[in-house]
Amino acid sequence: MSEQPQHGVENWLSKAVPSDPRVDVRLRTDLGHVNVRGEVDNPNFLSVIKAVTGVSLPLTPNTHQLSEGDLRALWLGPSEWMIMAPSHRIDDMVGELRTRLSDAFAAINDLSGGMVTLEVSGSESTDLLSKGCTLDFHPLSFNPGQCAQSGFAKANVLIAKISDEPRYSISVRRTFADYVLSWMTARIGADGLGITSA
Amino acid sequence: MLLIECPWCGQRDESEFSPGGEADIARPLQPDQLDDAAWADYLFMRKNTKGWHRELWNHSQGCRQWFGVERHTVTYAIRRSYQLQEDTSPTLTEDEA
Repeated sequence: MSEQPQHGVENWLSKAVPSDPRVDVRLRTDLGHVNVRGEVDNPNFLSVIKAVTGVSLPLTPNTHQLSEGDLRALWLGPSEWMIMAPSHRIDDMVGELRTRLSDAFAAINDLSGGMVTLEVSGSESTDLLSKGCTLDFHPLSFNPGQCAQSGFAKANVLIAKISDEPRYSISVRRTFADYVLSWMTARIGADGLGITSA
Repeated sequence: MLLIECPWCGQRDESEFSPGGEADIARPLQPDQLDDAAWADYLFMRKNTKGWHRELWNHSQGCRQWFGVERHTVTYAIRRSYQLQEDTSPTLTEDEA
């Protein structure tokens, strides 16, 4: 069972949105998170994931793959991925993956209760990320389709660039979400951060 | 601050990594047959190299993989990172270090 979708960010949902925010944060409380572990040299593992979710797990380090129905698979390690999908699909997906991979050396874990995703966009979003993270967010080195795990203001985050606007997706533990949003507000000011919910 | 090359993720800031100490220390195959001195040697004794040094790092804030690094303990230069299962090169000799 997962936490309430708003857990960890509920204090931010009622904040007034400033008229002209420089950074927009969309709280994707509608997304669930599934951690997938398995062996890439087992062809059955990859094909079952593809058949159930519709997405091919990315094998190139630090890349992510979008598939139909707002479902995204992100590389976490040589044998580890994160699948983010609308919450209503999670229970069925996890059940079916576990059934069909029961004899494979694989693990499917529903992390929806522990993770929350923030979508960050706006003219100063890249600057804001750069202030809290040691990754290089310049378009020459970080482009749509790439993702990375790193520290953001000392919180562990999974950052993916999802479009050129720029727009980033930042997944963070729910217990750190309030802190990360406070940190962003402190950096850019309450009149610069527009927080909305999906 | 070191810039460490993770064999999977590329160059990242040192703050993403945890150090694992000297590499190439094999766990004894039959620990119950060691005397206390030999066990203490395995657990505690390190070369404390001055020069090129093979050491373990974990990309703890990234892909969470262990890997090896050859780092110079005087200049802090890093000349190589490698995946542990792929490394077949011999341990550094005293001269190299």
